[in-house]
Amino acid sequence: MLAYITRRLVYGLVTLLALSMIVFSLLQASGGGPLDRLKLNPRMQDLIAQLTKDWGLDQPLWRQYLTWLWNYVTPNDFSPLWVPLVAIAIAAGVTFAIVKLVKYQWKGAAILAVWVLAVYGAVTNMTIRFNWGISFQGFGDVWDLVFSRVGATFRLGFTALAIALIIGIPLGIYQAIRQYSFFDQLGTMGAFLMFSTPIFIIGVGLQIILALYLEKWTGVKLFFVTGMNDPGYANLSLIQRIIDTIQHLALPAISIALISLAGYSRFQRASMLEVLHSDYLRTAKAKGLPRRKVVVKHALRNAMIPIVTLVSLDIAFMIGGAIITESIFGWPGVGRLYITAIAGIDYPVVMAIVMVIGIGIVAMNIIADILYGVMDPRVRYD
Amino acid sequence: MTQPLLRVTDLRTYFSTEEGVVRAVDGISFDLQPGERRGVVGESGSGKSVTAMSIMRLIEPPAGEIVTGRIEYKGANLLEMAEDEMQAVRGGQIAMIFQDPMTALNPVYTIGDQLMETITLHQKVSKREARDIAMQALADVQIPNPVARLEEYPHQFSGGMRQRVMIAMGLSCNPDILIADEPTTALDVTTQAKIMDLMLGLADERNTAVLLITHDLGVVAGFCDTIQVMYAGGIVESGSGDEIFHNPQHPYTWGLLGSMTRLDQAQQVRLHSIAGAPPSVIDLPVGCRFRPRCEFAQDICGRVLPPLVETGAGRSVACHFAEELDLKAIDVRHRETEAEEVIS
Amino acid sequence: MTDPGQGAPLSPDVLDEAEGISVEPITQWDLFSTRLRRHRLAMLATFFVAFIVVVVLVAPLMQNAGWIDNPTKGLVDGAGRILANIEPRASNDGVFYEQIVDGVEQTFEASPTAMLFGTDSLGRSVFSRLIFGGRASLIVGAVAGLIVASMGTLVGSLAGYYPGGVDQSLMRFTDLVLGLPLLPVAIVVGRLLPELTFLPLWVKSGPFGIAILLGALSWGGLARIVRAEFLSLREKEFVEAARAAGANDRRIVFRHILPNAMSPIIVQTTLIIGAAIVVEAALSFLGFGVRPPTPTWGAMVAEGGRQAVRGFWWEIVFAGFALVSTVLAINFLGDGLRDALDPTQTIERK
Ligand SMILES: Nc1ncnc2c1ncn2[C@@H]1O[C@H](COP(=O)(O)OP(=O)(O)OP(=O)(O)O)[C@@H](O)[C@H]1O
Ligand SMILES: [Mg+2]
Repeated sequence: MLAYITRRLVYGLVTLLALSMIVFSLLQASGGGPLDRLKLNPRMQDLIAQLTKDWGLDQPLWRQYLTWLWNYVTPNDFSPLWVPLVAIAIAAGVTFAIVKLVKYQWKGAAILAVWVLAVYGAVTNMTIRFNWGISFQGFGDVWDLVFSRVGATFRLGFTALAIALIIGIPLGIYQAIRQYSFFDQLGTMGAFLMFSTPIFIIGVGLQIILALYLEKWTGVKLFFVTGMNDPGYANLSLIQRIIDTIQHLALPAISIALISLAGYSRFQRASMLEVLHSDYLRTAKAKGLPRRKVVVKHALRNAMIPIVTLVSLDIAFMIGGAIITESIFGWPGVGRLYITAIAGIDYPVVMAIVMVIGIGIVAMNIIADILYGVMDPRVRYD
Repeated sequence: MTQPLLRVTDLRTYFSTEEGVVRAVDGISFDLQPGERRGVVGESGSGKSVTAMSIMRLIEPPAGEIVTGRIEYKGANLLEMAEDEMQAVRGGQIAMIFQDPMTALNPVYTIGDQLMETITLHQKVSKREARDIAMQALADVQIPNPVARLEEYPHQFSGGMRQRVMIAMGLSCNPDILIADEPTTALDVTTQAKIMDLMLGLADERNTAVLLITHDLGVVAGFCDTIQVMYAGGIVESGSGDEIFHNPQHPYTWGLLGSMTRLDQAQQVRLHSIAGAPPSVIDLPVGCRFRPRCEFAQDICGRVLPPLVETGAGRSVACHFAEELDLKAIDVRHRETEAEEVIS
Repeated sequence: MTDPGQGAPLSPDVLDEAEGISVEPITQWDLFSTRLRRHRLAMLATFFVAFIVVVVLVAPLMQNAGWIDNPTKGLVDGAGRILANIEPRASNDGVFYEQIVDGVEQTFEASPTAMLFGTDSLGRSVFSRLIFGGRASLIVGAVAGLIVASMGTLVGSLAGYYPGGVDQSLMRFTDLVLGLPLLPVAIVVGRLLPELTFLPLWVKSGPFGIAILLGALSWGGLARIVRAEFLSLREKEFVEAARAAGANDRRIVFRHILPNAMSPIIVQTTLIIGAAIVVEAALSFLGFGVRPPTPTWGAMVAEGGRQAVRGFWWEIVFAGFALVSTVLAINFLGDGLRDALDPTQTIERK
């Protein structure tokens, strides 16, 4: 298991290196640099020279890349380092205990919860920072910039994920139990339609219909189409704050959720159908178990295993997947920052975000594999 | 007159498929006495499993449906029982073991969990007691080190051991009837005999009646008191094991016997095989279902379906010529001529 | 039969007989088309896709014939005013637009379809832009599909046929490509393509660069599938038989394994085409795809969205409908192909 994870980590690191080189050289090869705009102004020559030197833009490509890489992985401030270390140690210990003590039910969920808490605790209580450079567009320190936006992306992403899971999985299960019923066929058609609809059409469509036209026709403003909160949020009461948050969050979250939902329900339906036709389900019925228990205890447990992987990968793509939605809804998350940075060819920011996305994918892939093994006792790592 | 433990009367189970109605079981009747070992033989697709699943009421609508018939267990018709009463019967009084042990156990629960689930479902015992019963059950089926084995998952067991677990599970609640649907087909030959001995021995200890389904006449002949032979959804012949084995009265049974290796016959005897394939249970032929493959078929066979009639004590045959044909007598001669034909 | 161990190499005809598995093309096709036709939606989808392909192919001819307008020219009325954001209507009386012909600016009367779907904020015919916009989408789909099919098949079959070092290194490479996050990388490349001075113009602007990009990023999944297919097929009896009959590697691959691996390749490629069209549209929507003035459905949705806010609903509705229905049709087609080509499915099962 440890060897397996190590191997996966090594592959992951290679992928990340390749990713960074590709994006880095592309950014470089595009010729026109961040200073183009300044160059038009003859009085700015001194500043340009200064910045070129500061940012290492006069060095050869490989030097620049190595400088970037070194800076990217070098923490320039890590106090107190013991916080993440302690968090990781505790989480590892608790995970070990869960694996040993808890038999099967909720094992995966418990381990996941422990790690989420540990990471959350570590991130909020430590001040470890990396030297990711300074935005060329004048947004300041990249590390601060990215992490000031991550919260917004997670708020959107996890809300969408929750909606998709809460609706998609029961939907798929129900469809499988009532296979070929009218409802099943309706669900299948709906999922197909959602699958084939690009997210930006859903986003813009919801925006126009549910926000603008709804207001036009009824005079009620149910949803907001830009931003995460009202400018006057600080002055609102608690209830108003909650309502305001929901009004802003609803549409972007639903647009992301609709598409994942289609995927989850399809996937869940397929895996549930497979389980429902399995021999061990027949055994469970022949034991005399009530039908509900057969489904809940024997079928669901097995049918949920494959979806764990799907959900983990979805979490991995959360930032990348939110790019379009965030830019449609003016959501102040990492995705929109990415678009802004690319539009202005802001190397450090683009590189930082691409790498955050890449790291997230590598990490979640490994977590998905581990969770799979926890859920399914048959899995062996080798 | 003693009441049979299980009495099946005119059971018909049909499946509706896109090609038509599959008459998987079409009007079968039989009794099962307490402690009896009854063998059900027949080719693949003859409706053996569907019979068993019908008794357990595990036929899933809307695809399959028990259209008519009665299945009386201790006088009560299982087909009219409420679902929750039926649940108490399933696994508690009538247990079932399936063909493929590799897939019959839920991969994500331990052996112990799955055994204890059955036990706590049908017996009022604490978790601890259930554990003890489960352990004893594993020990009964001769699984070494049962305490540790309870904590293991199905994939850690071999095929033979899994079937032992299934047997332990089936017998853990001391059922009155154990239905074993080809319990050893998926296992290798040496394991087969051991498992069969074990299962039947344990059933005897508990005075559990066994309905043993197989397509291997040799197995039923060796192990069963009574045998019923099924063909295309119907019973063509039933009687005591000895009778059927030494004095087949239906041409199909006779053919089946001819197709098996028998240790009590000279080696040169050529194995006989029944020509043709079983009919599709969608378009059953009019008249006797075996007619297209029968060497002795006559006019009437193509028109009238022969009913299952008693020809002796505990002996019934569904053939128009059961009395006239002396299959036992033509047995050897017939085989010899056929062997010659093949050689020449 | 001939002993392969000795004597001269066998002629292809003899080999065919020896291998004894020459597939009857007609019956195979029959089987396939009956199944596809049974999948009525897939059939409908096939017609729809074919229709779109034809319309898009003949778009320049239609423009020359005067049936549709120049997609990059704003329509003007008799008084020379740009007809921006005109609601869809049937007639086009008094509508003109200018075009430079032989160095002289000339005024043309608009086509009969000019106003059918209304005009956009620059007075261009939405109908015409939709048809020309389909070109970008379909080119991206076709080229990306081609790249994926060839790359995926090549890498997958090499890896599947030569176990060991070749397989290992190719699959590590595939993993690497699969590990790249598609949309973020596509956005970077899409943004920078026009700035990469060393690239030829046809790659830098227009749909081909995007298509190559998407193809290059998406072949990993197919390569894995083909490899798995090869791994299982190369152990099959008929391949062993062919090998025993003296067939060489190339022959085994092209005559025996590849035809049997065809169905996953076709199905996967179809689905990739749909996905590539969606991603291209997303890039164009964000402004990093095919650059204006070339019309694309993605950009039309973006612009239509902005106009819809002002009450002009038609551009986004028509562009969105075109995009969704095309992708839906392609996905249905892929689904139908999957059912039709699935060898485990028997023809009796409806
Ligand atoms: N769920 C079902 N749907 C449709 N037809 C079915 C179904 N289950 C069984 N059948 C049909 O019923 C007939 C009898 O099947 P059954 O499984 O009882 O045969 P069997 O005698 O047990 O054969 P085997 O020795 O292969 O187990 C077969 O023709 C089969 O195709
Ligand atoms: Mg069976």
